[in-house]
Amino acid sequence: MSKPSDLVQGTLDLLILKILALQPLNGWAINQRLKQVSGDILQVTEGSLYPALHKLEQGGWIKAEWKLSENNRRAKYYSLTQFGRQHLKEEAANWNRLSAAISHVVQLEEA
Amino acid sequence: MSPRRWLYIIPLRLRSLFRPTQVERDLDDELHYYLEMKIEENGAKGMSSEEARRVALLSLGGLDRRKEECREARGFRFFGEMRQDLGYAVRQLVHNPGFAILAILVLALGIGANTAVVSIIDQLIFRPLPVLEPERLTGISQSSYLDYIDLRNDGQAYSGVAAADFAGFELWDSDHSKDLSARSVSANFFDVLGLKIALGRPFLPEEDQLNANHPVAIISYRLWQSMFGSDPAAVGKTIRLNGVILTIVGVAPKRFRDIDYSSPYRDIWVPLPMFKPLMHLEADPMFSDLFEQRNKRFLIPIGRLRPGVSLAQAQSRMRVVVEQLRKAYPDSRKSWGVKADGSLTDDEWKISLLSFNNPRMLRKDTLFSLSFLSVASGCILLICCANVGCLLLTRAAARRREIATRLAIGANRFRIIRQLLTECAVLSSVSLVASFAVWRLTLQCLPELEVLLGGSIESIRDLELVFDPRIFFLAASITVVANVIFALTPALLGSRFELTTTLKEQGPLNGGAAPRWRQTLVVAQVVLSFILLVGAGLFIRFILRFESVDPGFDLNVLVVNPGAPGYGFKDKMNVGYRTRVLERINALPGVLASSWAATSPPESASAYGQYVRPEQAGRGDDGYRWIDCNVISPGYFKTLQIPIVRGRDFTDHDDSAESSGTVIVNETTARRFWPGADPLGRQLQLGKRLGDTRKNLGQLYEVIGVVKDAGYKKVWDGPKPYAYFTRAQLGSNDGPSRLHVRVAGNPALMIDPIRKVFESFGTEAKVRDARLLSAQMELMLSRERSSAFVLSLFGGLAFLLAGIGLYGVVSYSAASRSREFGIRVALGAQNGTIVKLVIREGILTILVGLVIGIPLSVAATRFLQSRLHGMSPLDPIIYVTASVLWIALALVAAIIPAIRALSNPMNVLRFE
Repeated sequence: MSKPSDLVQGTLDLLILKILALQPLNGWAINQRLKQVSGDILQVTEGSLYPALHKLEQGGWIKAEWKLSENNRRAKYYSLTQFGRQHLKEEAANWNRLSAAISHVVQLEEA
Repeated sequence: MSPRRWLYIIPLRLRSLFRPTQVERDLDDELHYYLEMKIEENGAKGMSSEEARRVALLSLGGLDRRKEECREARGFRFFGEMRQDLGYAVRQLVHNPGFAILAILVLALGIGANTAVVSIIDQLIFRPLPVLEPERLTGISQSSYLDYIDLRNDGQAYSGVAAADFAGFELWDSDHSKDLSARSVSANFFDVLGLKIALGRPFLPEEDQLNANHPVAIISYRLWQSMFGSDPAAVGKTIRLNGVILTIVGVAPKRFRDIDYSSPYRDIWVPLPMFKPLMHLEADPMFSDLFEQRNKRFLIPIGRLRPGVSLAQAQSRMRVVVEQLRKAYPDSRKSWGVKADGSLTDDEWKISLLSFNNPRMLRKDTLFSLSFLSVASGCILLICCANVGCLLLTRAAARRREIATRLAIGANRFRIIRQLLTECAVLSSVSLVASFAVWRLTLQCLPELEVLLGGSIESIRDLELVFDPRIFFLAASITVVANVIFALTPALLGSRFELTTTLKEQGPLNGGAAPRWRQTLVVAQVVLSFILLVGAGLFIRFILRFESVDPGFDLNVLVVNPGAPGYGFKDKMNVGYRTRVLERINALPGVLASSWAATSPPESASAYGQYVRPEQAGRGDDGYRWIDCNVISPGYFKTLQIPIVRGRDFTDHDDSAESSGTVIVNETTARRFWPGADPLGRQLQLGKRLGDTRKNLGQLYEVIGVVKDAGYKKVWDGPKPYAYFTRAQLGSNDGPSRLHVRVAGNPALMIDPIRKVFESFGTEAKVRDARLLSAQMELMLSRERSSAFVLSLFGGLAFLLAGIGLYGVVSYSAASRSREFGIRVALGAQNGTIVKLVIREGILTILVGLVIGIPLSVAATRFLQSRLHGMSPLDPIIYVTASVLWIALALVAAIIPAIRALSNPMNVLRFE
């Protein structure tokens, strides 16, 4: 499976979970939101979102249902499950620890 | 992962598995929604609709690629591929019907036959007695009734001791005109064995009382089904056996047949005290004190060990009890038997314990036959496995290019192995189904197997050979293991080679490990089938040798069995009655001669043996020899056309109480007892017979005639000493009970008139059985026949299978050498040279097989020696015949590929 090369492994999952924690969205909308919130810094190959979504669904973190979108078309909407919410909490904490550690290392004064 | 999350995930996964189209459609819809949105967005940016679509697809990174990734993310791909593999495997098999049918048939044969053998062994050895904890039951040596009571009352080693008469007996059910097999047992019998009566009640303690009559019976479940149609009202009904009316009080549990492994099903059990009245023995001086004498050991006690008591402990306790009894009753310890050398015995009563849960309880020859069967069928299974292995290896070799191509276009090795395994799984499942048909069929052949299994016809027929999940499991695991081995070997061999070399080569390949493997497998098949063929040959030779032996009497004689010599019949079987019957029979038109005899060939005549010695050699017990006897009426030799060499036949006077005692002997007896002397006028002295307290012990019988030897028992034993007595003189209980009739014309037509003669006497005796002596003599070789049948069947099968395997190897290697042959022909080789090359390979394989097979056969057939009654298993004719057969088969198997190799060597070169 091809992975977005510029994303740290596992961060795409974290981003998706975080976005879905705010509100249930379909694949297209998640894409839009990703672009929107991260600006141009996080470049996600749009197609690679879908395998990630399916994987999260099979893992029981998110669930899907077919609903009408705002433009009155059938779309598959994803939302967090209770397991996903728990997972997000743990992953976000992990991420914070990791990024704090990394920025700490990066900010070390060079001798 | 928390269990709750699993509960959530599993239905999701199942949906992918079972609703693949739904999942697929969802995926499609989802991605198309994205595309549409993207196209709209691009359109809004001012692209043309085509441009918008192209860019949208590009941004997705390839629709099919994404779908594939999503499928993989769902874990859906594995199942999808399995589906593909299955379809491909089925197509593969359908496209190669020859291979598929052959492999399935071979596997089904091997597995089915083995399953059948296993189910017989399972029934005979592993669960013969439906009793409670059979390992706690012990059999105790034959005891007298009073000894049994003492053993029972001891109670230290056993929680209960039951008893049964030692052999059981037949009872004549005159209402249904059939014999029922009965056994008299103590009242606690069902209790000690831990059997729950299916209907009614077990025997009551008071039914053990000797001084009262207890006309009750417990019938077997089978009899309850067959005679009473499983009617619950059967309990309380009466049944008339040997003229005694018995009330049925209970039905034994299903599947309970008797106390020992190899005995036939019993139909009925009666209380011990009923033994004498049912057998009408009260007036018989020999049996009147049956229950009072400590030397009349007619009971087998069966004890259930107390909890915590071991067999060894019980044994030592029994020794103590026996010692006490020995001291208390010193005079009664003498047995009523004779030693093997003929001297009268003062054998001490010894006690020995036998565990019931012991395969040694099976008859020795039955065990032999079972192992014989398992070895033969095991050989077949090995051959089948080797054969299918060959087939798969050949196919794998032929498919190497296909596999190489698949690897080249990107299939991974795991995928290829899985594909081959799937094919084998399909093959296994089909052959498993087919093997059940074979299993059923093999059980249909049971009559053949019955005879083989020591002639215990009844006991085998009564086995409940029903569908058994454990046996199904066994068959399934054999199939799966066998197939995985065959699937993996070619898969591993097939996937481990250099891609480029394989693709570069043209035509089928020669070399690598596969051909050597196949040759080894073929050699193994040759060896195994050679052993089976030699075994079959030995039995066939045996039958041929002894079938044609003149038994020394006329076979065209009708033998009529008018009923058991026991009840009701015996009193009427006096000389007067027998003479009157003969008069009436002889008066029938078409009857040439008739006579009574106690036994007719080829029965085991030991029951009618006697200890005899020439003259009175001394006052001691020395010099007695056991010889076989028959008890006959005058006219017997005329009926069977046995020539009287010297002297005369019996007269009516000899068959009467007035006679002073006469005997007729055969030539062998005359030669052995009075070598070089005239036997006429000499005397034979009668010894004591086992279980006999006859007054005529030591009585002298004058030899009045010598007859030619007749092969009474087994012809291969050669002539044996034999003596003929008349009933009146021997005073035997066993009256001459078989009527022998020689008729002119068709014997079958005489059966009805003879039946009418008996009916006119109004006795209980009815003609139960009438057949020709020739038919009876067939039975003599029956076990050898069925051994030959089984071995020939298996051997022939193995021979064919190995031939197919050989053909496969030779034709494959001939095909792979076609380029070489082409070059040889181009360089001027003669056709003969090519044929020789191909045939040589086949012959070489066979020769290797024979070189290994011959010494192995010599070793293996040694185990058959006991069945061949002294005929040497080292019969050179058989070895030569089997070898010639094999070489002929090798020629046939090699000649077809050889001709094919010749047909177009130039074409092969041109093709190159």
